[in-house]
Amino acid sequence: MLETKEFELNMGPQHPSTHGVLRLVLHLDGETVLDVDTVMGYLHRGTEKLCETRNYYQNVPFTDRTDYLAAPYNNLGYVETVEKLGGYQVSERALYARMAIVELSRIASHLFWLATHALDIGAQTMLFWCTREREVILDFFEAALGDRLTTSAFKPGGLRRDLPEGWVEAVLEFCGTFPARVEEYETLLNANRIWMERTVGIGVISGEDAIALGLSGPMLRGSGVDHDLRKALPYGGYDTVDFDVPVYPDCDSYSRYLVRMEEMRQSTRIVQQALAKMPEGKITGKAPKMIKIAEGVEAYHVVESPRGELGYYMIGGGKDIPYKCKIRAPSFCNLQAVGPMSKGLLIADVVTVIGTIDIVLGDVDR
Amino acid sequence: MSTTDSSAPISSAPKKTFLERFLLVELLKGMWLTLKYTFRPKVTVQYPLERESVHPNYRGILRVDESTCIGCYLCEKICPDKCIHLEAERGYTKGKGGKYATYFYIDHARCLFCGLCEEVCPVDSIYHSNEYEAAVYNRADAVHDLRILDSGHDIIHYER
Amino acid sequence: MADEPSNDSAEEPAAKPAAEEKPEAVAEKPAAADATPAPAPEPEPEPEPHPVTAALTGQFGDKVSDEGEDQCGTPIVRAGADDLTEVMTWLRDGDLKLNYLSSVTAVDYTTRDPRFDVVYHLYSVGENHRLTVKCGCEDGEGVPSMVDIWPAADWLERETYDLYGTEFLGHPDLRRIFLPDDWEGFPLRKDYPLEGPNLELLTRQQAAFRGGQFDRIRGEQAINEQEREMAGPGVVGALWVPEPPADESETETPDQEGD
Repeated sequence: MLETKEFELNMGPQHPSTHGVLRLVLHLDGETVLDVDTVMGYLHRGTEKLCETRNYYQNVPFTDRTDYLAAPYNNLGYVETVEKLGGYQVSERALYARMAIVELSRIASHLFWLATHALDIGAQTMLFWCTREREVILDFFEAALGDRLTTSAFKPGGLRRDLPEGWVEAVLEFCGTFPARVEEYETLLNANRIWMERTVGIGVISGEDAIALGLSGPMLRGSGVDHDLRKALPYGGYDTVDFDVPVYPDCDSYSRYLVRMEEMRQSTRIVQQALAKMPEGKITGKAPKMIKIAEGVEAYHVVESPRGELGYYMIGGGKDIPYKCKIRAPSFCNLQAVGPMSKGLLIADVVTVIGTIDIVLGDVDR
Repeated sequence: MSTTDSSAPISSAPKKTFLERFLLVELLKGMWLTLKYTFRPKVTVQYPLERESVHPNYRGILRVDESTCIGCYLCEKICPDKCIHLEAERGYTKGKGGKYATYFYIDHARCLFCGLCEEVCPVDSIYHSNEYEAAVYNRADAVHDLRILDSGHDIIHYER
Repeated sequence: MADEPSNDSAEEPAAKPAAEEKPEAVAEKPAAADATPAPAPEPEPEPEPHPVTAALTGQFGDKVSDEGEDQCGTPIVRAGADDLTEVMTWLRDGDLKLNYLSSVTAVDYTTRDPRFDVVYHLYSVGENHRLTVKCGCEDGEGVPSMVDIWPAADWLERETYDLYGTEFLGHPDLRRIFLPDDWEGFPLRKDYPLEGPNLELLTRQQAAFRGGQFDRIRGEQAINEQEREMAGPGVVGALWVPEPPADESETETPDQEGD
């Protein structure tokens, strides 16, 4: 008598909660999601093709534009891969300066994630408070790296220029006050009834599924998998600093939220230690002015970006341009979970699921 | 695919007693925190009327010092997206010998503001200024020629 | 006025080649790959195989071949397309516990016999070791899909198919992921031009642009209305140049007499 039909709904590409130009085709039964088809590529700029036509120094600005919310981390992943290819040494000062900068970028990225994720769910105050702290970090980037968002921070061998005077003190002062700010955010959200209703038990994915789907970063750690590349395969001097890896076992959006909040505190600790360990000396590197990598020399180097495992697979071509440069984008791999995670949820919860994955569409599409 | 049983006890979410839930304690705590911020100084600026100054290291709109440029093409060569275009000639002009740039165009619509040109310039002729207001009504206006690059483009400064 | 620039470039050959070198090098890249001098430092391959490789060759004998290590110390092995599923299943379930597929990509060696290498980067969450598996793939042929072994391979293989055109046999939903479904060609192949397949649409200005002769293009003469319409505002808009002052264009050629 009563006929029911599966309903298709387009969400995006111009939807405020898709954080860019992501289109989801939702297959609905009433308001319950049966299946999700993800359509992407609206921001595909062919970064990997471009990287095959520019030399090793010219490619650094392109890496900014992939994950633009944590550009220094992309620079680090690229630059460390080039250093591995060429066997270039980094001075100790540059090593720790880089560590401080990329951890600041992790804080900035998580802050903006919290701002937008909370805004999607309905907590507007977080947007203002998180961007307030993020502005301070962007000011640090502006002073030390020259730009706020697309930093082009590093070059093979070191940093572009030395840190400005008084920068270290300003950062340390910020690190002193920042944990109190994180506590303020938690006062607003941790026990908040609306926040818990919208995140607890939403977007559940088990640890085994997370590994099988290739998820990484907070997505894994929020599913009870104790895995952080900074501990597992230390790079860039991370084995010399002391920090904890937060792991929460509940596999839902709320535990991923807790992971990221704790990561901000741990990053603050890393920044403090890195700046304390940073010696005086030369900050620019020893890499040659014209980098040439022999043909067939390859490296796949991974770093733990704020979104997860960021990998660069590069092959030298015997010239000053790479023969191949593949970017393993954490957002792209994490986004694969949007289907399994949102099955059986309501449309409003899909917004939470997208938010909790923490995608950057520039990183997804590249 | 196995998923975690959603009826399992949730450990990381904070537990609340009945009284806490009934009296909306967490809501009142949050409201109190927000109220305190009402009396703190503002962190925002009214942008077109008040302008934030940027750090001297900031990479803003490109400028070229015409008098020092030696027309070596290095900036054109290093530019990752080929937004710099110049032509140099040999000759004696403007009080100096050697090469000088006859044409110099920078398309700011394409510029990445990466600072590589600034870095390779042997005479520090091309540099990033601290100006960041590059919006134009017409794409053609984003292309700056040597005259604009040397003297700077017009910026409207609003005042309160 | 259109003739003047070409005179210019003929008279000044010393400076221009430097600016034109890059685009040419890009175009000829695959062909010129063997002609490079390249005395870059390359570490000697270690005589003793990596323990991961040793375990793998112990299990499969000569179905897999040792290809040394990359610059990060990750062992590389090569397997045939026929054995790939068997090898990969063992890698996931066997002693090595490589339960995490990090990335799938392909490399285009235009001149080599199997034209493509499909490259899998595996990782073990828990054991913390890596392995790179390569598998040759001829143009038009395919390699078995890994979706049944690692669900993560779904989108990664779609991406590789989208950009390289390597088929993944048995993939449940092999279609383009970034580019539109009706896109022609596979962009990351070495014979695919950087500007895209519709090069003729990009007009001769683009070619002049690539040669660094930006300023030779003068407003209406270079870009007529039809071309502007064909190429779209984004392309031609970037090439617009302000009209030079009248006296400046007059003095352009006589300047050479000063030399």
